Amino acid sequence: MLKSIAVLLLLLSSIAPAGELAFPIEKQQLDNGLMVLLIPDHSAPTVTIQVWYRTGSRNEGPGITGISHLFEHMMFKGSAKFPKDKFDRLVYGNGGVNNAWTAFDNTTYYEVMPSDKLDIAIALEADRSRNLMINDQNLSSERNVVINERLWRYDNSPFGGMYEMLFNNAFVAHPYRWLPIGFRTDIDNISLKECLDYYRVHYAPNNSFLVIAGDFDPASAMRSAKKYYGKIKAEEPPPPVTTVEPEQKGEKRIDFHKVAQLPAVFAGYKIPEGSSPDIFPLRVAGKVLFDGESSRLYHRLVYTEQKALFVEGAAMVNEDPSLFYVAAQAVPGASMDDIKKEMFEEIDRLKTEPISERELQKAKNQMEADFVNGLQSNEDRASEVGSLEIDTGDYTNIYGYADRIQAVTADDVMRVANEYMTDLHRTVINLIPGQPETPADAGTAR
Amino acid sequence: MRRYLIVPLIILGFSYALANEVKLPPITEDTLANGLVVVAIENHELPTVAMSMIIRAGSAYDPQARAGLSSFTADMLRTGTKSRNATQVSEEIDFVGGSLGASADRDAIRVDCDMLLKHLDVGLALLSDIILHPVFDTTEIERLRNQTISGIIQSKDDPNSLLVKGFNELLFDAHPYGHPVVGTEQSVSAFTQNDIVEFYDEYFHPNNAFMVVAGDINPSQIFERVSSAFAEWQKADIPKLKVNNLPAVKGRRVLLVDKPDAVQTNIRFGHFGITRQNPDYYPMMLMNYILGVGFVSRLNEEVRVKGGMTYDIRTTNEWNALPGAFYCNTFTNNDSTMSAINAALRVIEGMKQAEVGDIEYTDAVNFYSGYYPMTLETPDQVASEIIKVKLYGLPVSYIQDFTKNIQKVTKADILRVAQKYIDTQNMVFCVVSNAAGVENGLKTLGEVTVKDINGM
Repeated sequence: MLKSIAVLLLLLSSIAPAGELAFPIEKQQLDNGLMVLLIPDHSAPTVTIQVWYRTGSRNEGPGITGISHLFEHMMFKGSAKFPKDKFDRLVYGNGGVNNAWTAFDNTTYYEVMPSDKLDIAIALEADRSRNLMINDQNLSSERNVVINERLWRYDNSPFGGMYEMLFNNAFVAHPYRWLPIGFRTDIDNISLKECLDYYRVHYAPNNSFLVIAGDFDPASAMRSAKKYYGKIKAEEPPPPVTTVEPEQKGEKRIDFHKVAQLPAVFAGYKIPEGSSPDIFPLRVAGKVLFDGESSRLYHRLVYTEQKALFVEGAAMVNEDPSLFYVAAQAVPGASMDDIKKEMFEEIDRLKTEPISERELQKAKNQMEADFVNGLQSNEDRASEVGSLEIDTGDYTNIYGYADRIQAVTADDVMRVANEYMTDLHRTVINLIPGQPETPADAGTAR
Repeated sequence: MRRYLIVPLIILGFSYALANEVKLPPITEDTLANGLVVVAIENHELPTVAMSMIIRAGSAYDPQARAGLSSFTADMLRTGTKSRNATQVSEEIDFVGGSLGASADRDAIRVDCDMLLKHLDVGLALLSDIILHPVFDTTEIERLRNQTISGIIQSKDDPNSLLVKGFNELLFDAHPYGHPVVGTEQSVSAFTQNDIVEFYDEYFHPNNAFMVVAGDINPSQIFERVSSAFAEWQKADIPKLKVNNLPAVKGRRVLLVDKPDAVQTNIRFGHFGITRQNPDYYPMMLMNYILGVGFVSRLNEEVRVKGGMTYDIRTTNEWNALPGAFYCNTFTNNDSTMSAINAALRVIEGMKQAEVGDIEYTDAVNFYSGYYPMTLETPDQVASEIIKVKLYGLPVSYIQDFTKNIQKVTKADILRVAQKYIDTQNMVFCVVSNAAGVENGLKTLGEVTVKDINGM
């Protein structure tokens, strides 16, 4: 039984002549609460299915940090009906590929398949959402895989380490305090029972949704969805995340000592949740400061003064209040203190001087191009729609997207800079290189 | 005089292709009077255009003792022309939300410019200006030199960069593929303006380049506009690439890069592979898939799934104009370094012992038959494939025939190429780790040379 059907067209009339760029998004819902978003496009013989579970490291707690991600790995272990080798054969042996990712707010699985293989993909996803067969043995070997992933991404990399330090320190109460990879000792100790409890609650149809994009027939896709998901029962919804990060009352400055060639900084300002209208002017601020070689900070620190090897930054959009991050690394011999001072000066300038009309228009043009380029493939479209559903609570926000970019004013940018980008709400991680001597060739680079 | 020939290569008009069938957008090709080949890929789904100019002058063309010159010349293109300084170039492309950049790989320099269709004029003007009129200003050279050297220094924190550099030096030695594309601190320090100008003058000619334009375009209009934008570009004789013989790999040699703070060991080992033009391309591809590509390979099953020793293990055939490497790449806990290497060697050797099983053979053939057409979904993806065809001199039928050629490969072919090209007794190994913990184990493989990261 279908509860509702809505077909909406995404029209980017401000970018292309009306009607020229449009793709429909059809929404359907099963009785068990599973939402299905259908985005047909027959231009290439491929179809993407993404299953979005509304759970990520945001839904974890101390002791089981990293369980969403560890469990994501366990989802590839197979079921009675589709043991691991059979599952893999049905995907890869049909010319498909699959993978998954775990973030703060979601865990997402996908298959990209030749267009006539959508039914198989839906069958596989429905089956593993409830019938996974996991045991202590496969948990134990996968735990080692995840430990190796953690070593690779974070422990053996200065920037991975700084990124983790930023969230560990910027948040004191909200679960964004830890990264989706989790703390090492939690990865070491998460039990099979904890995995199974997590699975039952968070992988229910009413806590997930499908996005299907590409060369398929919506009616037959819905027949498959009903056939495989229809009998699965809804569960009690998972406990809501009620923790609100308390207001930060002062700048946090943290030194991070690690062997590295060059000093660097990673900082973050507290910004609101993805559904806040202030996200758009914050994004514009990010463009003005960091996007392209003509941006204020790139041009000043990397190009003109040649103090930084790179600078970057942007608003990170999440379901709950997150961070506007900024990062830079010094070239040999440059002072990190100067770089930070100038970075913060440029951020402060946004609070007192309106950005020029040309800068505003440039930022809008950049965001418009990013948006269109983010809709190239079926996978891109499904990801864009799914992320908007997670980050803003409503995928239909894609429709007003281009207009909301255009609506931002220079005053908006000044207002959000004043409201959010204050020193009191800033956390600064300083990478202090563990090797005291400057590398031998530093003389050639100032 | 302009020859104006529009040659429709492949036009498939089906609105619903059968799965497994390659479905390409209309692709047309033209050769301008100055010899520049332009390929237009028409796809009206989104109002965007992506242009790429490919110049056959990658790092393999770096002169002796000038490692990195190709990459440096590519990076210099954006830093100023006769009519625009670096800031003006950046400002113009950023203002329209486009992207403009050049980079080198081993075989070619690639200059890319993407923008929304409505800004095509701006993009084309900038692309042609930076290719035709760069000034290679000395202040900009110093700026880029500092930036490049800082980047090389920074890359010593990245175990994978150290690994790639160490492995290529060990395997290729003085061969054109032996040095890093970006060069070394020493070589980049020595570049002069004259070096860059000479390199540019030698290789930047229309008969040594081709252009691919993909997106929301009308081919005849695009040919017209490209033709007028690049009309002044002059043909010239292009010097032939001098290639040293590949150094033979005899026995097993190990380069251990000592990074005392490493909490994980990065590993790459292998030997020479085959060229892109080799008729054994298809059996090698299937052999490699079964051995070490993706989540269903033998190596993944043994070392990741059963062994829990890594997050990622794969084998790669480098497809370049000259023979590249065939290598296995992974990372693991320091204390499982030797178990991971030995397990991988056993699996690799196993490919030579017997024909692959029916199931893995069928799955591999079916994988590529289904997967390949899916990799041609977006205009950018089609452009990348066309660039491969042009750069490696493949027949234009290559794309349409890919699946057919994959399906022709037999199990016996796979065994034959494994036996012909894999030789686990004669390999080089590069390992980046805390040397103290792994050196003794590595000695069981062969002679070990230890370098610290400052020597890299």
